[in-house]
Amino acid sequence: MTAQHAVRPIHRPQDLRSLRLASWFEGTTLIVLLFVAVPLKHLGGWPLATSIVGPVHGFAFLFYVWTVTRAVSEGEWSRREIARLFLAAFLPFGAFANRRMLRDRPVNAV
Amino acid sequence: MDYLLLKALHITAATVWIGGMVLSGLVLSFAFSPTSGSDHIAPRLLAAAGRWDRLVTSPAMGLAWAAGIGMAVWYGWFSSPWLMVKLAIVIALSALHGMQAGALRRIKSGVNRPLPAVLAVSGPLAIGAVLLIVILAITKPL
Repeated sequence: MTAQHAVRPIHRPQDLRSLRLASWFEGTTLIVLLFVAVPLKHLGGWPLATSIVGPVHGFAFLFYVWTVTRAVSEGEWSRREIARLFLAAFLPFGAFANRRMLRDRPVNAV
Repeated sequence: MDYLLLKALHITAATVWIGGMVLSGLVLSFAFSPTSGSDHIAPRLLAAAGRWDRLVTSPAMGLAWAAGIGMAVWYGWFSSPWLMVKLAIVIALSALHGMQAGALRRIKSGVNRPLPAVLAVSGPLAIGAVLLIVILAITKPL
């Protein structure tokens, strides 16, 4: 292994914090949208719920996609980790399934 | 907020965002030069580009998202197919900007690994994407 490949770029704590925040925000709004707003609209006859939560989740999704691509571009992630990060955006509770992976990620102590 | 004011805010923010992406694309293109590479990008230029991206381009992108989503909700555009196509382009553009931001940090941290080839043309790609978005938003063909 060359010196070049021995270096594994690791993130600053604030970078992983923003990724965790984006993940939490996207995951939470997805759950609220699917399990609260959508039932309220279709079963409770209250379409305002999706009109409010939908755009918020849309913004959260965009922020998550951007944060993930930034983190992946900056650091060294395995293909499995990258796939997990992107899939999490589309699966209810997916963001929370990635919590441990993000929490245990090595950070730059500097 | 008045719809036209929101639209003006969205267009201004998007302009600043794309301008920033073109700037980052130009800086990153130096990393693909056959005679230099990322080692030869002047540190001050790199630092300035990273700072601009963090303080101007990224907030402008967020503002463009927020204003665009606000307009779509206000005018009920979410049921329009042309907006769905535009959103797909916006997602791709946002991801490209994320790649630029990460790459700038990566180079600044001194990591000497090849960058994704798409970053060599990220500036022109951003301009091309904007052209498509403007055509969709103005002509609304779908």
